[in-house]
Amino acid sequence: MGIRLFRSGVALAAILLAGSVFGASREENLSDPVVGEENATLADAPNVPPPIHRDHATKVIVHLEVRELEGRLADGVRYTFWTFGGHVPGKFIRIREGDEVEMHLDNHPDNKMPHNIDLHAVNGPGGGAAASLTAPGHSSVFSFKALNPGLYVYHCATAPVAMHIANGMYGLILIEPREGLPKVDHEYYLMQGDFYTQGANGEQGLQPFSMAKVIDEKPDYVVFNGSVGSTVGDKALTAKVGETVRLFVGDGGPNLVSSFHVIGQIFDTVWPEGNLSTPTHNVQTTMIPAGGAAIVQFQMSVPGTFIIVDHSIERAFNRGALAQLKVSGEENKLVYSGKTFDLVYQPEGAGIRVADQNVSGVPVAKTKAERIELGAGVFANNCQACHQANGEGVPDAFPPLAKSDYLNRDKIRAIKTVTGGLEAKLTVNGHEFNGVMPAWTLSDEDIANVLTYVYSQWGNSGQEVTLEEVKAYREKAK
Amino acid sequence: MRGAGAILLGALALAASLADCLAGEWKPEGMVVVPAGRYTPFVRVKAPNASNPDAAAPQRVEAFRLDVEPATNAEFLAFVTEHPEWRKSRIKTLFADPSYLRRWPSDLELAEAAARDTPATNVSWFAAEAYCKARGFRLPTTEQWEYALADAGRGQDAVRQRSFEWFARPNDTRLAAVGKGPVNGFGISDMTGLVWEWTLDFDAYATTAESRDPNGKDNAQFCGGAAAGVADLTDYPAFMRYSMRASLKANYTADNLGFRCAGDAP
Repeated sequence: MGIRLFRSGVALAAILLAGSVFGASREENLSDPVVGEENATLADAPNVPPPIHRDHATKVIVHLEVRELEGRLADGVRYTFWTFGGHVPGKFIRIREGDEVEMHLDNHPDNKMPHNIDLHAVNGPGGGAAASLTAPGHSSVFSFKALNPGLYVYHCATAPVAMHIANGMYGLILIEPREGLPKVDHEYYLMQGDFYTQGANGEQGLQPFSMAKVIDEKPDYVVFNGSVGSTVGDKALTAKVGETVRLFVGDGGPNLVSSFHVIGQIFDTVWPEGNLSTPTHNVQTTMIPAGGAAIVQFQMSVPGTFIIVDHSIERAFNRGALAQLKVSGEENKLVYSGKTFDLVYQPEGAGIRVADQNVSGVPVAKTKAERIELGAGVFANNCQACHQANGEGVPDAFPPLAKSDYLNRDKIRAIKTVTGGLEAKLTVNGHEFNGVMPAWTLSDEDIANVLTYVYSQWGNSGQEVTLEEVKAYREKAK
Repeated sequence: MRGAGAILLGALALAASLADCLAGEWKPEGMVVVPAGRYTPFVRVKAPNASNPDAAAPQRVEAFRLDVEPATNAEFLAFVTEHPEWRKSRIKTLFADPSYLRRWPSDLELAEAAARDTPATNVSWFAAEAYCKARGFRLPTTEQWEYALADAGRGQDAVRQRSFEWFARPNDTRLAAVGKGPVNGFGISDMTGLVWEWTLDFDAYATTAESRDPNGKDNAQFCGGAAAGVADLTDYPAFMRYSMRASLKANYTADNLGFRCAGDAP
């Protein structure tokens, strides 16, 4: 396992145990006698029900209530979700291998649609779907024995399946091995899903499902736990330095596979595809199929905000596949130094190239109109990826520049933000953001142009930022 | 269900004989004649193969009469007033589940959540069929209902869009009044966007107990032992209608499940 800093005995034990194979054979589980009966403890994401300490199999009664509910998909974007238990993803179900599960699918009378359930943890036709097609206002009941330990997806399989899944009908069920999983400090539940709306990403109001887009597999949103920003800011996952975190991660789809990654954190152990017999170590990104799951585990070494993404990165950048894990505690400069020097880099011959540039003539704006025209190009190359071509930004991630009260209130602050970057909580048009914008190494001319462009667009104040103002700010800031 | 239906036929002989004298009360002018024509059913009852290569071809549907609008609470109230055995306190449990007319405060009383001009819902197949019989009619077959919706191909994009908008709207505690939706080329309204509707043979097309393989040949999946394929894999609202029907039994009732009546062409 190489050199590693062990900060707690718990974490050490967890990592050592994580190398072993869990669970009994199907035959053993099939013949494991069922003793007693209990109601399942279910949990809503990002929470996970507590570990099971029973030393025998039992009959577990699970009630999943299907609710069709309007909720928030992104800021200002409403969507009618179809849910197992009132939230997306559905309730996390945790049982022990050998358990006999009595599954009740309760279709609430307020619902419009028939629903059923396919649990990938079931050996049987349709994974239970063939036994559970349920009209609104009715319940279906079936039983299964948990034969194969692991982490499994469940979902609705009523035709048209893609629509039921696209509306949020998926969740995870953990069949825990009889010896239990190694103790860790935190267990969390994350599930990725793709959403398809008739309006484009960010279009406001109640958005109906788009059949055309789901068939084309072109989602408008790719999110964790049912909405853009479900797990950021105050709702971020938390841990302390030295603690070990275990994530139960599923991908409901309906279409996209997840390149699951935590920025700045190597996974000490991954149980790929939720399979408890083959743990792997030191993983950067783990692939999670649609309709599949993985368990990832890691010990936190340093504090900070760790961004959880689908590393098919456009989805994180522009469609919402982004969550946060906030870690508090002491720095460890040996593990990570932070930025130690900020130097000017001058490769050989740089002077010549600069001279060439001058000769070829970097365009300089002479009028406000030219500033706007040149600024548009600067914007497209430097700003648009986050703040979007329409200046609307990305809800909960990147603040809007369009009609931005923050921007229009203070021109000098805008210059400061572009030249120096920004890392702070800020409120823009009533929404709180807590992100990082890097400092841009743009020329004073480019900064004047791009800010003038931004002020000229999308209902902003229309004021000009001149070269002199940028220079004056730089002078003052020295 | 068929056995129960046979029992019911006897029970309804009296009701049927009353149809003539009740006809004036239930406005036969509320019906239109849907002309004969051809259409491609969404679900083929028989899969095309060497012995029936035409199964996928458009099918002929004979002319029939169909209600312009779904039956309303006011109309259903008139029915149970005349036929006490269908009142909520009297109905046999065999014929309706406990949610039968659940939005009515009592046997002969409507309410804000079940207003006069809104569709009669929480009505079982047995009760809906009895209502139509009492008018001298019956429920439309699934084929007739779908043919009326298909509207000779007119405005099908709008029909689908209306379905999706309905799916996207959380359930209202109070349904909208009938007759507010657009009227199609056959002169029929409210087939989508208001309520699901019973059909006479709702259980004959159960494609969808578990249906990620809609072209599958696994007969066990399908009631009637008929393998079925669908005409258009991209018609999600149609999948939804057939799934809904497949989830039902004849005594089931639901808040969003109503009906309209049909009859032979004059």
